[in-house]
Amino acid sequence: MVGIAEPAAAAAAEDPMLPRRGRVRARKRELDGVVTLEIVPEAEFSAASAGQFNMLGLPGIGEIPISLSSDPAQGDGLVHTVRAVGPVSAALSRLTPGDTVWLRGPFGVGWPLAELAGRDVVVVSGGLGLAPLRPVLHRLLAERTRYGQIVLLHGARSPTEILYRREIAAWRRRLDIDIAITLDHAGADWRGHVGVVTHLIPQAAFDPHHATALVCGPEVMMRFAIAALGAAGLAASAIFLSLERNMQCAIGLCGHCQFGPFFVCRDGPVFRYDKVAPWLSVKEI
Amino acid sequence: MTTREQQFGREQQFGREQQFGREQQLGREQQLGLEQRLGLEQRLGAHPLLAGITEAALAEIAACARAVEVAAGAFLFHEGETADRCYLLYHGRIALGASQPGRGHLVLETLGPGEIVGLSWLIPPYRFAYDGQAMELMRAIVLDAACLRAKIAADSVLCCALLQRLVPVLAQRLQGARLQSLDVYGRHR
Amino acid sequence: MINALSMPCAVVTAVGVGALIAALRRDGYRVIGPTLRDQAIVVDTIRTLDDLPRGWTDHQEVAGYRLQRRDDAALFGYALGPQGWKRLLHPPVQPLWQMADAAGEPAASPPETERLAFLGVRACELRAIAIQDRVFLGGAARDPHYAARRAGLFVIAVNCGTAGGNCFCVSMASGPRVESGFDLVLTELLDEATPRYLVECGSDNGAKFLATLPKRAAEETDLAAARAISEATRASMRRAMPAGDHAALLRANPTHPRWDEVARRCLTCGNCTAVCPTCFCTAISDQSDITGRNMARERRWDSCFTSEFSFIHGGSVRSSGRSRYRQWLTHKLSTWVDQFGSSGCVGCGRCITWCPVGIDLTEEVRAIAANPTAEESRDDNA
Repeated sequence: MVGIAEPAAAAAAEDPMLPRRGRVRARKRELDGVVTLEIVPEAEFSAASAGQFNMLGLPGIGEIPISLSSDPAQGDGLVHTVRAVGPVSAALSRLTPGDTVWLRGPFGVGWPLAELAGRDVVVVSGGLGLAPLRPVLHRLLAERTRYGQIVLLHGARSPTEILYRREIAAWRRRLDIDIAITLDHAGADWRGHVGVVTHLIPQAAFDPHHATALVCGPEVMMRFAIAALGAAGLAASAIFLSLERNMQCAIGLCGHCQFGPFFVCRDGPVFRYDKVAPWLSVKEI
Repeated sequence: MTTREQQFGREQQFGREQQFGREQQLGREQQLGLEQRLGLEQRLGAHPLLAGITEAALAEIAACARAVEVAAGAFLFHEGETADRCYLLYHGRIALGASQPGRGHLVLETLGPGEIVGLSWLIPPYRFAYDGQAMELMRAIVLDAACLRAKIAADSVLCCALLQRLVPVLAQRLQGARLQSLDVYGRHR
Repeated sequence: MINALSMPCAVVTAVGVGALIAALRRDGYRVIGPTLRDQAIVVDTIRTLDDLPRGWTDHQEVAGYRLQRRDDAALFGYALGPQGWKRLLHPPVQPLWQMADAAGEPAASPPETERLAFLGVRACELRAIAIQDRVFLGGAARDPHYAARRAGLFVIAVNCGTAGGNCFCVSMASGPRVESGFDLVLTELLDEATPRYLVECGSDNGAKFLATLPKRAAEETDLAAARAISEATRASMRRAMPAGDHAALLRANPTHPRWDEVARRCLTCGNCTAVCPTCFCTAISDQSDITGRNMARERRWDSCFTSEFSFIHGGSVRSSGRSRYRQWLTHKLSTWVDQFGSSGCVGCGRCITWCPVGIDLTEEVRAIAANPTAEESRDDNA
């Protein structure tokens, strides 16, 4: 009939739902209930960019989207940090080196790395929101001279729940990145900040007219952080955020991740704030 | 506790006597020298809290002000003590905390340069709500509460200018506390 | 598109329709068409002319559907069945892959090779198929299963001779006359003692089958009668979507108090999403047998009216019925335009017929359009 359909064989050859085998090379316990897996795909796997995600699956259990946490320029391993909150993430958390995991990806739109050259970069993260920003920090620090000030403002729950703690300590020693970590709860032995991450923004050293902010964390935290960044002088078009929604197919066909007119899996997860601002303020959108 | 003594010892160097009314201080201020007094006013004017305030208001506030340096670890004040002062920080950070038997000293919020520490002087019965401890060497301008209260009682323009600057701080702290109470990092990413 | 008027056309009788069914079957097609089942006219496999609902019609009203006898022998004398063709091109359950051994590889479920011929597709339904084509085939990611079913499809459309009680295709510019996307289109002419059918071609394949049928040449009176039927159907359509830019209207009104009002009636049962010919959302889930060796992944129709639909760890994004109804209607009429370049509504009215509490989306749009600057609803005044 008249239409846009093509022969079946060609379409079947590129079945986007068929996962490919990967093997766990390393597993690291990060926090209580949080592990980082390094996975090596067995066959060639398209290079991802920072901010994109892969679908990690275990046959018979299911498949979930996990942000890429490794810098694609640093080797073949895909680094994914997983918090055990559901059946699939719990099963993924129990994988050990040598185990098989099934991959689809990479999917989505990542952070605007190309647009950051010559600018100050303010990374604002909360909790596990640091995971999708880790590859950005690696990339920025690997090509440090291409950027102006680099600031990392990170909020966590307590001293024992700071993700990538050792790595942050190593970054601190470089002296060419300003890092401030603030906690919701701390004892007297904590020498850093206590309070919300938004509180760090007015004190951070960056030029708001030449800075780009990358924000990732719980949505309420991102909304507050964006307000504080705006108050500090950043334009809405200079703020990027990574959204989270239910994602099942990762290719814009299952409909679950809709956020206003967007499919978060395909049009995001990273969005420029001014593009999503009207929907971000609508409850239960 | 020795740290408290150290703190007061240091304050002494900056002239503890100045915290009383302007009239009483006049002679003393002259002794301090015009240069030092102007320096204090300048520093006050440079503090973000007082940005854009009139010269006249600044002079009024400066009359209640003195500089202070507090050693790392020293307490600025304790919960329940008379809130007879507040601090405009320009160097170092302080921790607001409270003690909970069995959990020790809990830090509720930390404050740094450009911020005001101590808001209890505004609200009767004028008692500090938390412990305030210097986390590192801290330099600040101390404003005497009785002096400030007397001035804002007599001068509604000054009162309004100050409250316009303090209410946003209160709102920001409230918003922060609410966000903290959501415990968003617990189960979410 | 191929201009139907440039292609051959002819007039056949019911015998000719039967011959068409037979010819398609001989050629290897499975013919799907209307048939009576469970007190409704549904689409299912058709073997002979006798499977068609000759002499039956459907009476549809808000939250109501019942079959009625006609006083003639019309084969297509009804408006629309509860479900259209969606379940054939985008089935309720679609296996994605199977794995027979934990150490093995997932084997993709083979795309369908069976060729389908749809008999009796209405203009609104053709529009719905075109819309789903854009969803499943128009983007960067294509659904191979849909593509395979779609590739072999033969479409015999029918111009509607009667407007159903809930039809509003005229106001959606999607009917009642079939314009494109068919191989053959029939117009059932009932002005003589026995029904006759004007057959127009939309493709070479259509012309090929038409050539095999017992027929006579179409005359100007046949063409005029067909046009008159479409005009009469158009004129008798009582329901309409209010005119205006629905996309902009709903985009501007996510907090309109009408959402609260409709939420008080909506049961969030999801019937509307099941009967809607364009709703495409699916849930993906894994199965494994008791040995744990045989595993499979499949996708099933899902509905944005369930609270699980928007679940992220911690809870549902759309926890209220209000937000779920809003999502459905706003997606259908507004964000669909952003995503796929057209409205997701074709005016078939099935969601009105099959809503157990009689929610009429045209009424909901009318209510919001009547007061587009209404104050925010109470939920947002906190």
